[in-house]
Amino acid sequence: MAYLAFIGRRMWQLLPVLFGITLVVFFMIHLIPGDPASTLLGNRSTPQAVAALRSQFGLDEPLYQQYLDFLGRVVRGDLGSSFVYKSPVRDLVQGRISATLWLLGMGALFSLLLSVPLAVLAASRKGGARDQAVRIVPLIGLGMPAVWVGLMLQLFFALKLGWFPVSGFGASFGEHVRSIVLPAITIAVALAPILVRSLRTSLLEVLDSDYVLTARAKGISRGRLLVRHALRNAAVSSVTVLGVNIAYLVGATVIVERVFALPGLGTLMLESIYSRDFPVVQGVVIVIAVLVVLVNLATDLAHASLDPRVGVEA
Amino acid sequence: MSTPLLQVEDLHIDVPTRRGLLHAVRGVSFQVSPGEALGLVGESGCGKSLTLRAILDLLPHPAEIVRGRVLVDGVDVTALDRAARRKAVSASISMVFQDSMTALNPLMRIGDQIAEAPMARLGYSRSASRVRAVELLRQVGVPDPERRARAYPHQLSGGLRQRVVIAIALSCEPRLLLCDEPTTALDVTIQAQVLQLLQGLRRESDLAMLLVTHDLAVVSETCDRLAVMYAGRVVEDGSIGQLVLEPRHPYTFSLLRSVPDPDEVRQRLLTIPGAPPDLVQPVRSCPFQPRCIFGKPDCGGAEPVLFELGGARHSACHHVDDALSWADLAKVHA
Amino acid sequence: MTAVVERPELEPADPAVLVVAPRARRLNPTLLAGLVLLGLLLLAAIFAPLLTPYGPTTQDLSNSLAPLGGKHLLGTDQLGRDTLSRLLYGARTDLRVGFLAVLFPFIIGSVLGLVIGYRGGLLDTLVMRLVDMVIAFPFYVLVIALVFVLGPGTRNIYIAITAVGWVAYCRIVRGEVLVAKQQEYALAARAGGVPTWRILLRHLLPNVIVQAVVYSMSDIVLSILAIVTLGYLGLGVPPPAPDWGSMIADGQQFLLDKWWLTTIPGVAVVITGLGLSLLGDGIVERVKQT
Repeated sequence: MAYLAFIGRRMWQLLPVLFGITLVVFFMIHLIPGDPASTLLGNRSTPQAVAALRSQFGLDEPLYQQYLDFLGRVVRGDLGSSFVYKSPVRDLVQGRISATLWLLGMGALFSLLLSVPLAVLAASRKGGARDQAVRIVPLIGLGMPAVWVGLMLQLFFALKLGWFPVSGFGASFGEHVRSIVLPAITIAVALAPILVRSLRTSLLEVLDSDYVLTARAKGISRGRLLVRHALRNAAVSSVTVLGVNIAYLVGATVIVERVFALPGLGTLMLESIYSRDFPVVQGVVIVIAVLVVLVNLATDLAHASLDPRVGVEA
Repeated sequence: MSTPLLQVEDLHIDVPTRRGLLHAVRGVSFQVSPGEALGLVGESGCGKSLTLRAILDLLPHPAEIVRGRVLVDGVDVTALDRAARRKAVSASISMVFQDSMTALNPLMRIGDQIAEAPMARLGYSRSASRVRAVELLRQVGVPDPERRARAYPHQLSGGLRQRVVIAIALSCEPRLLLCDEPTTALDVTIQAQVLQLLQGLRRESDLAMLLVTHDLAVVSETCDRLAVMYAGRVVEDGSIGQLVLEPRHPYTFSLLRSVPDPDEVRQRLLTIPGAPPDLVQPVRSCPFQPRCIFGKPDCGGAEPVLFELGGARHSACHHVDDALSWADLAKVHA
Repeated sequence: MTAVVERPELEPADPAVLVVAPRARRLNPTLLAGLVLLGLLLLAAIFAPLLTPYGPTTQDLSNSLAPLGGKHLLGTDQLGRDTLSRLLYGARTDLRVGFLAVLFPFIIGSVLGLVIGYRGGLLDTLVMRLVDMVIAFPFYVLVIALVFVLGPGTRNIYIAITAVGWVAYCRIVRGEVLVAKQQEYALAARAGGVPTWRILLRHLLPNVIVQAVVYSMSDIVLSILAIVTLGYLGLGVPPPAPDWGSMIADGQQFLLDKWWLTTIPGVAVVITGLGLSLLGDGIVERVKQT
């Protein structure tokens, strides 16, 4: 019950951000140089088409009216209609969202699986040999473009070794899993430099903390110490670290989808950009931003339920 | 003559730093007998906290013991491997930490934290350890212990938290309590309560105590004996009465005179100008000399050793024989 | 323009520092390594014409997809353009754009942060609301959308990245100003009647800008990554200008047998990133020493 109240309170706090998202996206159409309608239509532009577009977008109305109309439509779930497919953007998004969610989930999981052990290794002895070795990860990793990492993984594991499919999503559950592995690893590698650094810092804080000292003074064995004190406390800060980086995770997902031709929101957005299908681009951007907000909310919830100082009741 | 509970012999602790090797502790020796309370006094940076930590093998990473031994019940624990050492030491010695907010795990209920040692080390069952935790809370004077045991550290006041830290130390059934500035973070009224608690515990269970602090008032109330540290060494030790009435080292003297005496109506307080020496450099003469108001030319010679003055009293001053005239000399300087 | 707008930790990254001579004053090993690496890269970019006989856009269809070695040291792409040349000239493009793409957000964000941090009030609230709106979007998503909307061209890339990237600098500088303006030297200046702009410029700026500079070091890396990624997506610097990103994209279809076409530009990016990271960490080291 307290959880629902917590969510309710947070959503209330997030309303301004959600409004802000719609505002930013709304203004995108007005950034188009020249006349938005004819630029958008490009070579599809005929006087009738331009007029139709102008009325569809209400471009002749005063600005605030346009925004209110837009807001009203978005709130009702109407994200416009694709130029290319002539179908509601909403349907297109629905069809593509599953692949993105798969990648997000597995990407987050693999990121933790990769970064946490590395951070633990580094933090176990500050300044030690293992710590120095792990320092290489952010040093080299920060400069690795996600697209390139993805392509290299494709090269080795898909093309040369044939362990995983080169691209696509597959039809069955099993095929989905196989198809997501390499992309998920790519995301993990892309996030590792940032995550390892932050996790290592919070782990060191925990290990250096006075309460761990108290426990050691009590004569508690190292094993119990690690599990009951260090790991639990570190887990809480890990959730926070992951939460802070959610936007980056989602951004990486969008890019990586393209490399592996996964039928997700990212590829939908890019395809629509290439075909100049503005409503779809607009709609996808909104959906992605809302997704980020929701995932942030989820991590907040996880953090609050784990940390009694914050507490769900607070 | 029973074996002392704790013996520290010629302890040397070095800390590698950017600027070089810091000789933080340079040959400290003392002992604590069962039931006795020894105070370890000195300003920040003199090495007293490191000494405490070294006893429990809790030195922070780059610091390490490079010479000397620590004996618990006559057993040289510094010669044992980590696990054996942990067992041997924590069986008899416990520590009370300074900052109760950070010394407690914020994610664990305090009852669980107190029950941890009995359960994990002393073989209590889960339920028995819970009962014990409540008992200990009662013993340290926490009201409504059953309910408090389920609370988290951030829900308690500073004074209560410090009592919890003491309860945790007691949970290991120690015979010697190491206290690292136990009252420094508290305000005066709470300080008095906590000190009273410690003294009461000592009486009840014949607990020995090693109290590290920079606060002379605390030490004079609670300790039988006192060791004064400066620049990584003990510069004077003896019984509390002796040291307070008749200090035999200029540093002790200055410390005492820098605290106002409520009985003296018109008193000039001595301040100790300057700062302690940089212990990365080797010490070639008396380290206190630059700040010593009784200094004489030959103080620039060798570093004074801890001279024995008879009756378990020592002082590390070349001119300890002049001690009786210091009170008058001070009036001239002040 | 980063994943996480947090204060970069001032932690030594250099492995050798703990052990090596404590008197290493001016050039710690990290800083040195970074300078050397970056220096080499810059030299290669600047002296590109001297290092290769071929132009970056010269096509030679009879010689397309040539292997490594021989006349074309790093082979050619599908239009017969020499990979090495494109790599070296591409360095010019990517390094230049990457650097400028950080400069604009740095200046705009810092100035804004300075002003609103000091002033507070309505302006502060408004700008911070704007900041919240911008960071709700993943960096790439917003930049790509803006590039789409604004149209192709290098200038629009700068605009897009600046529009999203100023946020980080604004937050950092504002945070520093909030602390700094309570410091005694600032309060004394105000009490002394020093005009606001002068306080901002002469007293506060030097103190608060350090964190922003430190951050910008890692930001340049991310900026170059962004250019390369945009290039890969076909939304970057317009052809035929050579760019590592589009080289990677061009090579993708030949990944199986002509893998070097994709791999080599990526390695160039990694090396650049390494050099910049070392430089950045080295500078942090140096700053900590003072």
